[in-house]
Amino acid sequence: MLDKFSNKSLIDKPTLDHGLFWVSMILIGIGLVMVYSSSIALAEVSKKYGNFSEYFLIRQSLFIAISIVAGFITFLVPIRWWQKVSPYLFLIGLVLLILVLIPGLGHKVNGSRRWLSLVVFNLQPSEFMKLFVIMYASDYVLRKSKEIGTFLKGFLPMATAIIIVGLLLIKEPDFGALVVISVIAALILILGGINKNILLGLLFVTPVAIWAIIHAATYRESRLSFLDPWSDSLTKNYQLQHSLMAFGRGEFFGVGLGGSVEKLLYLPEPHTDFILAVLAEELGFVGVLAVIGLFSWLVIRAFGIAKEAIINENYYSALLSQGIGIWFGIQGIMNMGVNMGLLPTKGLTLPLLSYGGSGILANIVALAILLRIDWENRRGLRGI
Amino acid sequence: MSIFINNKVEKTFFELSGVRRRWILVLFLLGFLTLILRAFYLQSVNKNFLQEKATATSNRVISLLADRGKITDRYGNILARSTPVFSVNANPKITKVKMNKDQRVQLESILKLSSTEIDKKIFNSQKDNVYLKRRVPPSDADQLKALKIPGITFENDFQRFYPAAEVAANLVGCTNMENVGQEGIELAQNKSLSGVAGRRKVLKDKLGRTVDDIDDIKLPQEGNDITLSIDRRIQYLTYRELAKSIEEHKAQAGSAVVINAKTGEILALANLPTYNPNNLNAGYGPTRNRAVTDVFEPGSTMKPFVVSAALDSGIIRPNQVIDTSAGFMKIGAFVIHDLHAEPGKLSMTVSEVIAKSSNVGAARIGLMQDPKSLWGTLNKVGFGMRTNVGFPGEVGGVLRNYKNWGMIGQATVSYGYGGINLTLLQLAQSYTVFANDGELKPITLYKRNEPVIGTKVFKKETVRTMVEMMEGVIEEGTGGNAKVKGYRVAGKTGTAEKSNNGKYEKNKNIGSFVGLIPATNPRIIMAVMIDEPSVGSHFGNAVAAPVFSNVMTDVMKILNVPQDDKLQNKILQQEKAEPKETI
Repeated sequence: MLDKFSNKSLIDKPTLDHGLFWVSMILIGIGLVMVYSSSIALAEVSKKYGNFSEYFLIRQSLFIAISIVAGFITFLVPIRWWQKVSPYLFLIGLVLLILVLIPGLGHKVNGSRRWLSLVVFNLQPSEFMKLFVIMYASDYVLRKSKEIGTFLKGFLPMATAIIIVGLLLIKEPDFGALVVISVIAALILILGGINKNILLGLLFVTPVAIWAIIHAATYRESRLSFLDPWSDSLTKNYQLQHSLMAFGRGEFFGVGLGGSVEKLLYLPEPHTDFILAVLAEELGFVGVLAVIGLFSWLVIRAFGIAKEAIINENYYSALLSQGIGIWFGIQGIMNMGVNMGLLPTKGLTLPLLSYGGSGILANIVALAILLRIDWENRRGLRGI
Repeated sequence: MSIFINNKVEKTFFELSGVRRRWILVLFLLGFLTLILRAFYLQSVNKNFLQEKATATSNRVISLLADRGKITDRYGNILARSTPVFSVNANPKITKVKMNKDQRVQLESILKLSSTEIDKKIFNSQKDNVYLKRRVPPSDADQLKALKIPGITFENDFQRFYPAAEVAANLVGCTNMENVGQEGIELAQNKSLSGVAGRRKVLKDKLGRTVDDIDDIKLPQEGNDITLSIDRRIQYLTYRELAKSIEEHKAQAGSAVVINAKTGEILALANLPTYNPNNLNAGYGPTRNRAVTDVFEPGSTMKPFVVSAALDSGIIRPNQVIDTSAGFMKIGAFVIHDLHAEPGKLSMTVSEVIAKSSNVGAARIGLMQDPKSLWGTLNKVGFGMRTNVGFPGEVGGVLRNYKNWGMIGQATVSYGYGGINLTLLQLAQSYTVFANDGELKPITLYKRNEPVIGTKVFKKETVRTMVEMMEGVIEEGTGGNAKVKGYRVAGKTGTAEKSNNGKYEKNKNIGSFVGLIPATNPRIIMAVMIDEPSVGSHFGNAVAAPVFSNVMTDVMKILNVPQDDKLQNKILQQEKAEPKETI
């Protein structure tokens, strides 16, 4: 009977953040259904996919299963350990980004060399690099907590590291990943106590950098045409036009699951970059609202977990969970913005929903880390 | 973890982190809010515009072919029908990638297309759908289907087939590649024959393949069959004999019309030159239906009307003698000649005027009449007006107003020159008055199921008399070649010089003949016209009357018309009886 007043049972049964867990599972579930729905026509028509309509469904299911196992293992790893290995993970990430550029190893799709061929499936290093940068930057901020406010010793080393990563990504090219990684690194530095002047400088430099990148290559310049998507039919804005048509066709409640017309080979990447457009067409504004709501909830919860970690004085955990929140937030907003014609097309997937093994694995591992931080927070609050 | 943090850093980091974290979160939430507003805009405010764009790219309307109706003769024999063929289409985007070499070779050989044509149509095309070849016969299409070439599709189509070919080409007409009537009955009855195409609104994917029906399918409404009044057998005969005469006399052209004298139904309408509507690759050729679209000055075939008008009003009697001035008459400076004048003969009876086709006699009888009433009679028998037989391009000719005749005009009209021209069809129709006790029966190209009421023009007695006079044309006059064994024939020849810019050309003639058979109760009227015969005689009796005779000899048998020539019957009976006696 004494057990009733002891916290032993609570220690043995550490609670999981059910909300976070189920929101993640719902997003993954919606993603799987939409990957299937959006890819049927594409898989059927293409010899590359064996003219097999379930090609993407089966592969994505397999990726999710593997990722959940990986996530479970990740959950068992203490956050402390990630902090310790984060510099090495960052280095591994750099090596992978270099390897992917070697023609024999790197696999090219649509003119971008983003994948390492690993027989069974292709590994996309940039997806993992996003997570490694979060880990590395969080660790960096804490290691340099004394000098973080300075330009030379606080800002410059990290900026250099990101520029190196950025150059490798431009080589692929993968501008989407570049923007996501830059934003993640910058925001973690800001959260980690970067000097106010540097912050203002960043606010000024960022638009200039974006302008410079756009002008560095003409084809990226043409991507500015998203501002007037109907000016040029069939060529530059082809993808965007059909994405917008999908939204328009969907109206409030959608044309019904499986009813998308734009996925009938009109949209070139219906199961990856433009999965939201297919969702918008089939499930309507209601579906889009649900997805945005779930993503918002995910970001808010990640920041909430960070706050609890700070109370527990687990600063690395705090930065890590914020980093993960930033990742899902910025990549989600950018992908959806592209789908709706608010941002230029840049080849970025929607986390947890889009088809892709590397992406889903990195996303689920990140969520497992988030759950682990929360789990550690709860133990900390109970004074274990 | 405390190893990293001293108290000072911890505090600033904690405070900073809190404020900055809130700002960043707010920015993210603003980002999400922007997305929600944008999605709302796209999916409600802007949806119509976007849906229009989507519809324009993915929805297609497929027209479903309606079977074009048949054109048949009065007994249901086919003159035009549709035979199924296929349009072979290709989707270049699919075919260009997936067709293998062997398939390509087969495709080229079956469709008889060259390698460069295939390149042009498939490999250099940006379209979703191209015609490879149209009007491919079903046997070739079946061979192609068996090859299963990706992206090759077959569209049902039809092609018109005309069993009578040249024989009825100017009458039945033809259609173009889209099966729209271009000539003849095909054109006149195009709407009825075409039916109404069905519609299928479908959704197409990017490769142009039909995915689904969007609306209910509207089935095609088949075209109506058209039954003509034509009798195919008579049409063949008429064409054959007309062609024979044109060949024999090396004429430019010719037309012939056979009508049922009682009902006004056209049983045959033949023209030469003609073309083969089953082979239009060489172009349309001479498609004109001259009997309907071309006018000529009738000449002597006019005389029976002028004389009948005078008899009808009592101005002359049948046995009255008319001064024909030895075939020579002068009105001012204008001279009228008789072509068949007998030397020294100064006058003729009215019957002789008809039988010998005296221009002078006809002119005199014409001039005896009140111009207005003569004009009225000619107008009543349909001169100067279209028959409204329902044929495209029909003309009504000219009948100059009597007020503008003057003496010369009235005289020349009386023997079919000057202020009058008409089509062969009008001429044939006008002769129905002589077969129906003075009633003009409107003619038609379509089968009549009920008798038609005509317009009374002459008295019964007048017509009786005139038919007898016209029998004289055959028996002892200008139309001896129109005789048909066993039947009495009434008719009138006509020979007219062709006028060119108001001048008559001596060596360019139109020989014509209109006849009624059997004369005792005419069943059939046939009008024949031969344009510019150049070998032998150019007279109607020489070029047109034999056509009548040859055709009618067979037609009387085909239609089982009882013989009415008693004299010949007697001879025939004797011929039959004689062998009996010997046995």
